[in-house]
Amino acid sequence: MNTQLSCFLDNELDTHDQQALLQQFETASELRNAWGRYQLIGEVLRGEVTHLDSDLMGRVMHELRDDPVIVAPHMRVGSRNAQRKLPSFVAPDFLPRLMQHSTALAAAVAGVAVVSWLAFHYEEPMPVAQLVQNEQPSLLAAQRVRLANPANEERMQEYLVAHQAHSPGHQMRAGAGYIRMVSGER
Amino acid sequence: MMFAMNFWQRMALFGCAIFLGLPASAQQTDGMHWLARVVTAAHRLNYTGTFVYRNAALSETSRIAHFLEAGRELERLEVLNGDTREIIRINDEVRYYLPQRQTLIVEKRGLQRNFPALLPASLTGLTESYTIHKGGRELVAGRESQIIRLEPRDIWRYGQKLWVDVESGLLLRADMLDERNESIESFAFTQLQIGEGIDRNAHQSKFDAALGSWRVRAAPHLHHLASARRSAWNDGGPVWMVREKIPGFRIRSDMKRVAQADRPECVHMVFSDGLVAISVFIEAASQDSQPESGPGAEKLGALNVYRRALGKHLVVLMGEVPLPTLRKLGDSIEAKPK
Repeated sequence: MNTQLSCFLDNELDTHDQQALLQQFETASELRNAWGRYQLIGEVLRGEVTHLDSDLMGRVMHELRDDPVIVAPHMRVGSRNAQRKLPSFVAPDFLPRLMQHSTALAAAVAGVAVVSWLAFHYEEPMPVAQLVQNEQPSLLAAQRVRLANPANEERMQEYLVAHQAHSPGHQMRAGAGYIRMVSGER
Repeated sequence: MMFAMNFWQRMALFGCAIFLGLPASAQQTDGMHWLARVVTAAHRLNYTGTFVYRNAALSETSRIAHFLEAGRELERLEVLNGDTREIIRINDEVRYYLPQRQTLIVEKRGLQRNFPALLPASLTGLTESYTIHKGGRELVAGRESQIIRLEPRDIWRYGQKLWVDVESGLLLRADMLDERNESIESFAFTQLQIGEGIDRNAHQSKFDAALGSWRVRAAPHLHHLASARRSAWNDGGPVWMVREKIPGFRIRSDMKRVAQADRPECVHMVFSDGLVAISVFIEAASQDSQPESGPGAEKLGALNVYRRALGKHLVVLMGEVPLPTLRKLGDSIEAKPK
């Protein structure tokens, strides 16, 4: 059903199948829900949705994971040959069909890239360098206050010792890794 | 016909897998082999040498001696320029001598697994967070080294470039790289001697004789893992929850540091991606430790520190990761309601 709906959205169903799908639309709530989800995903992928709250974005990403076919173009399917078999290796039209599959494969890979890109930005929408540059001025001011506080500095030195003692980096650096803490103590 | 098609399809896919996958996989495997050598060499070799530590703010030269004696792993590190400081390590106990403050800090790793049992757990998950590349060869401290690069798969960690001694497997140089691939911290041997000329008294500090007048910050008693959580419930203290997860980072240690005369009880959680760690400390805020206004951040080479107040508690995170990583984790910590 989802495959037909996806083809309908891409205008790839013939008239007969379109009418059959629309009839189901009136009775099947699941189909209506899927329609809404696909529309939303399409808007996100086309950049027509400029702001999503995290819950909604999470649901969209969930749908993208569950329905990766939505980001790849479909082969045209008709009502009678929708489930046709793969072309034979020795068929006369092998090369054109191979090209068709290759295009679909490339598009599917591109689709995966789009999904990955979205997932990446769902986690964190800004590169680290920009985030660091955007630190609030008060954060930097507070940094100087704290470093000037001897009690805090001593406490931090103890934290540093504890941190490094439990850090796996020492499995490679051995004792050299401890120098960082002592240097930081200044 | 169909059989032939499937066969060639499979062959084509197999060919693609070989072309795209195997070289990368072989690189990873080879890189892991070199990392395993580094871990082994760092703990099993007797060596002495001089190395330079550099970050954006300072450059220090230190002398290090490492050897095994009577089943114990002994190590002494002395900073040669600036303020004299010493670090003595005997197995899992680390002693920090800070003569300028006349303070000795003692820390023990306690119930953590010792090398080499730690090795598989530390390295197995690395490829989830880093791609490992084998580079060319260069001379470091007059020795031939193999370059191994660990490139982060995401923005939550730094990259690393390692120079490994071809003959012994010892790490000769290690640079931590930011997102622009620029070094933000570097350790590099300038002189190294392996196997000979080790001072067997190296595990004794020259400050031991003066310790009577020093302040000694002894290692606090630690409750580990499940007992820490149980204790938190039993004594009425809050149970802390970390809502956000950093990809690749898993909790490796969860302990409560028991209160001492002048220090409050402290929860200490350690998250790691197998290469670097993030420590989370949570303690009841005192007048000294309470942040003055809002969250604060500090930077010590590649190590970032992030603090925030959480009710009547102070949360401090530190780790060799970008500051946004600490903020993401730190801002998601909350007390679990009972």
